Amino acid sequence: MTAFRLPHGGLIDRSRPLSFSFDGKSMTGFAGDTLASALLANGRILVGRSFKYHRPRGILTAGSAEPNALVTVNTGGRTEPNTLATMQELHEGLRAASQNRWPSLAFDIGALNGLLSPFLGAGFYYKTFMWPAAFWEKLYEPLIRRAAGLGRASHDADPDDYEKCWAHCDLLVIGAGATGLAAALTAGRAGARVIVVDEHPVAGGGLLSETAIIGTQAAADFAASCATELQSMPNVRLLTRTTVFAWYDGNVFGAVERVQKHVGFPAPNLPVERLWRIAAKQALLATGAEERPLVFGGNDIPGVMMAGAMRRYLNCHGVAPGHRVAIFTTNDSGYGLARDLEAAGIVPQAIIDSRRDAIPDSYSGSARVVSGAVVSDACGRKSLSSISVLQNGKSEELKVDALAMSGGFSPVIHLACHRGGKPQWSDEHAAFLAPSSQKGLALAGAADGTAGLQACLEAGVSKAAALLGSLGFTAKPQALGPVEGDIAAGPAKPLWTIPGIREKAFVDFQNDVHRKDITLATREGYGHVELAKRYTTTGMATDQGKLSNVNAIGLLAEERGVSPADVGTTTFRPFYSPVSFGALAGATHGKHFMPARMSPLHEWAKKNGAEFVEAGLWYRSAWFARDGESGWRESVDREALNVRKNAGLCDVSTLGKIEITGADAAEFINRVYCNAFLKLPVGKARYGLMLREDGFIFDDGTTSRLEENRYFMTTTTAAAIATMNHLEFCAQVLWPGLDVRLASVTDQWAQMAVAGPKSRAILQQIIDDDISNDAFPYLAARDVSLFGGQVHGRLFRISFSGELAFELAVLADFGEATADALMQAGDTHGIQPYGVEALSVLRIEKGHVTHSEINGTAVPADLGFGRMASSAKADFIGKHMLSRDGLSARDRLQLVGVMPLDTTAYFRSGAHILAKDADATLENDQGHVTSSCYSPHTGSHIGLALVKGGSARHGEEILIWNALHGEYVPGRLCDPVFVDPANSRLSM
Amino acid sequence: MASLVPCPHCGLRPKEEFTIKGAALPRPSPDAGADAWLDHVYLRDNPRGALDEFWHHTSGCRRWLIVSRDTFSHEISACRDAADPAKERS
Amino acid sequence: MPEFQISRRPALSDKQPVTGPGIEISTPPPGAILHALAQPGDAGARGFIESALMSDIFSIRPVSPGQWFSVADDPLSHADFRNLCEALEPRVDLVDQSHGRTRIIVQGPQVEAMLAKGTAIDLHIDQFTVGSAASTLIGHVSAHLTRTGEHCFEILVLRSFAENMWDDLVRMSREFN
Repeated sequence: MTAFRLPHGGLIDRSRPLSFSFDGKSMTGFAGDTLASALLANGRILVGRSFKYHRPRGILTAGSAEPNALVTVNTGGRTEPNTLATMQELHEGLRAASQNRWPSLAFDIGALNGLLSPFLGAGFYYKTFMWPAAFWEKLYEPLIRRAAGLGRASHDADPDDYEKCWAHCDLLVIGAGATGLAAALTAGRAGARVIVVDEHPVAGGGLLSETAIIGTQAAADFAASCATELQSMPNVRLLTRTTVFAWYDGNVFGAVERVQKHVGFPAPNLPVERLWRIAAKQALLATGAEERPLVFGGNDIPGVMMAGAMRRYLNCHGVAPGHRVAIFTTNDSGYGLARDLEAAGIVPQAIIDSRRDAIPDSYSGSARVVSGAVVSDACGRKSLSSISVLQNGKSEELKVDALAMSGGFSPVIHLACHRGGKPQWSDEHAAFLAPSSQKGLALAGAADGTAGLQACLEAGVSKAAALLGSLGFTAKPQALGPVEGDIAAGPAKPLWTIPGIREKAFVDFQNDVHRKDITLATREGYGHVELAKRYTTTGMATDQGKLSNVNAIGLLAEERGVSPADVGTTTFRPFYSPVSFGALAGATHGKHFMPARMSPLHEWAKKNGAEFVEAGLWYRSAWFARDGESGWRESVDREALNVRKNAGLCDVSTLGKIEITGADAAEFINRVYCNAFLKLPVGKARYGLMLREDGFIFDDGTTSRLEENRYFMTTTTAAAIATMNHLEFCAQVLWPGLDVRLASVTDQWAQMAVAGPKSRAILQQIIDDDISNDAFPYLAARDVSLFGGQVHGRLFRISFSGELAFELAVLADFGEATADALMQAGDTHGIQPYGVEALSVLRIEKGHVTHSEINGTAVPADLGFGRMASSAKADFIGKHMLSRDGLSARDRLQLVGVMPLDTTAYFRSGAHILAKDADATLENDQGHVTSSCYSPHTGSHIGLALVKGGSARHGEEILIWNALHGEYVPGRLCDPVFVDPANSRLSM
Repeated sequence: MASLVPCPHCGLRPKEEFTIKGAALPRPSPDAGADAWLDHVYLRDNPRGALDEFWHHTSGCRRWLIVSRDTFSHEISACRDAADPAKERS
Repeated sequence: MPEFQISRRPALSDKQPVTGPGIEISTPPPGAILHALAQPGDAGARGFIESALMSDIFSIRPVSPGQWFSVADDPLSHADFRNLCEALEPRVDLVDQSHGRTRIIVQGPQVEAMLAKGTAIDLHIDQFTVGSAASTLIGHVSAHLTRTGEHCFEILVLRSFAENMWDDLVRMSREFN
């Protein structure tokens, strides 16, 4: 005999049957069922195997603390392992499967572990798998992982959407039971912005399993009318199916809403889960209390259940736990269940009460009460068959198919301890209570140790009114009730150690920690709560010890002969219950993993055949392949050669651009660059080097003086954001007295490098102003007019390639049209677009550095900029650390060029430089190649390298060594400028 | 996962909008000498308790702020624009 | 000199507006966005800017101490921009951001719920009144947000992030339309 559906009763909708399957077997439940209640209604009480011993396990709870009934639901990409059957709402077509069993739930080979259990006690990992060490990775760990464990994740991509959301409120009420509803109503009626959150699909909490009368309504009806009133208030948001999982700094609460985990086919326009960050001025924890299991032998046998859970299945789902039911209790909770069972026609076989003469007045049932007694053992294999009751030293066996247990109540205080507060043991409440007086958060009701419905309703009202008062609201507390027929379960003496146990008595059901493990831990010197946790693994499973921790602490206390207050607790940390990776990732996955940043010339590049490369968030054109080209190298060689022969057009819009104005702009720029800028004339550009305060190079770029007090600075693409932040720091923090104003204009301008001997001829066709060498010499920088005044632009005579070159900036929306016009104007001159690969070839050929060389370890002198750092300036960022001895040492890594002796040889960036005849060891390392490419101009691979004392070693033969690829290339150090060392091409 | 910073210009904002530079220390004067500069650039206290730090409201007003916070409890006791006290100092 | 056809290609020029009962998303034709910069402590700067820029053309949105965006529906020629600069300098410097920022309008009865998926700012109308403006993160992208009506907001986003922002907003709006 086993659990079954009662002919009537419960909050389920019997007119809406739902079919589902468990381990392939078809079953039927009703709307309003959880998977757990539906399984029980189908007489299914064996639902899983335990973690270590593979013991048969049933449903223990009716909520989120469930340690046993973990199942895998759905299939394919929607597979969700470790779903709590007690929280999963039943829906049509739900497919669930048990876990941690092979080949089947009923016959599980892993159960042999039970026979090995003498060897699998606490610390067995540490004792058994010690040696030989090599066996750990290859043998022991895979073995343990296969045998122990939870469900398996799917390898398919999750097809559903997740998202994140912020919310703000005056009062956040966590938990919509009696206390929470009372608090929310009080706050809502006072006009405050209220958010009420409950993890179950329907508001009501314990009211839904309650048979008391509140006012004139049944408890569940009272909950429903409260919820209806709350939902009618525009200032109140009621979030059901939502778990608040953490309390963070700034009084922000993390919550996950299971928007569509209760449906078979999620609507495509809604996420399946939504991660909320709720910023609350005040929060009230009305999270209730968790009923404690009792640690007797066989307390994990299917059919043993928490008393409150049994009551919920009975009253909320119309499911009876069995035909022959016993109740083992340390407090009055068991009597409420007994009364309700009797009302359903099931008179308990016995109520075993650990107290003497403690039958509550409010219980008038007919069940036999065995006072001053304990259940020492439960017996049965895959389901409960009998219990041993021990009273006054005499043992009696009772035939039962269900046993309810209640070891008292632990307030659910986890959230209140997430920010460092420690739980406090209260002898009066026989429980750990939340740390007192924490800013922004209060507790009420059972979460605060309050017992009884009437008291909880009153606490909800009065706590909410007090919190609102602190926020300046005037709440008019309205009493709710009166309550009739409640059997309040007040605090009772805890029962940690139960005498006469023969079988395994489980403390932590999910991690299979039993009482003897705790004893062993204490005996072996691991009795400290933090050590015991790790030695026995109690509280370390996915349920984080919601049921087990307090019993482990109680047992440790008795083992050590101290109070639970002296044992203390382990640290409570987020998350209260597991949160899916999907919810944490939100919408940022796949294509949306990072924001994509597009140049104003993106479409131009695309239609010219660009292959794109990600550079930070930007998409940059890497090269422009042409028909017949065999690979990227061929395209890049062509583009680079064409720049030196004709002209090329390259999108450099991604460079950081900063407009600097203000009366002290010149002084400011002079202080942030290491070289002199004070006397830069209007209409001129200058290369500038920015240092960090420690003297190392931060970034480089050009700055042009467009007007007396208007400058245009460019930065590298990579350091654009960091440079703007740095300049703002200098302006706002270091020198707030300077009148300097900074505006990022990176996105305002489409910027094109037009480089090559024909660049001027091409540009002159679209630029109205005279740009001849006389009118617009090297380093000229001016506003220009284009296309007969149609477009405004800025022209800079600067060159990264070493050729005659310009950078033209036009207003971004005109970028594509301007680039098109340049291609048209340059057609007869042989213009071709070139990408960042060719750009890189051209700059390496010219010995220009980028962040490959400006790598955070280089000072100006290392890169040949020693004379740029102005000694005449009294101050600039980096000046004061630059003169340190070490930064001028002769053997510092310095910039050199490197070429292979054999021009057909290939080497790559990252390779080490060794002296010619030195052994290939890191001890002989002389530096490394920072940039390398095939140079079509020189007909050889070339590179830039940072080499010890390199500037004095030009001409020296060396070995280019790449140990990773086994490459040994004889080479020679040389001048880093491979093209036009005299710079004659710049001023054509 | 979350915390809120009371920007004096923008109100409460999540930490994701900010960039943190580190301890709010005054820059030595140009002639402060090598030891003072070495201290400034490399040496930092790591207090348990009150600490003033430079935070940049990068995705907000783009002002540099001095956030006074407790490194243990994470409580923020004050937040002001970094330019204000700097002006008073000089 | 050959004749060139020069046309503007604003970001989002290929996007169709989103319409629906809950949310509408659109991008207006390109207008003018001027970044006005004063010294942070200049208390009268805003009034000074308002007096120089015609209030029927420009609306002023605070950005940061001493900084404002002046937004107009119609584009501004470079010559007109220079004239405005001269009227305001040296007390206030103008930087043209008309091409650097893209305007997106989001409106509808669910617009606050939609934006709450992106920004941590409390957009309750009592807290963020009509005319309020702020720079903030929307998702992972910085943007400038102004409430222009009870259920209407203007977003100014860097041009390079405009498409990304648009796609994010469309996703955020899906459940409301």
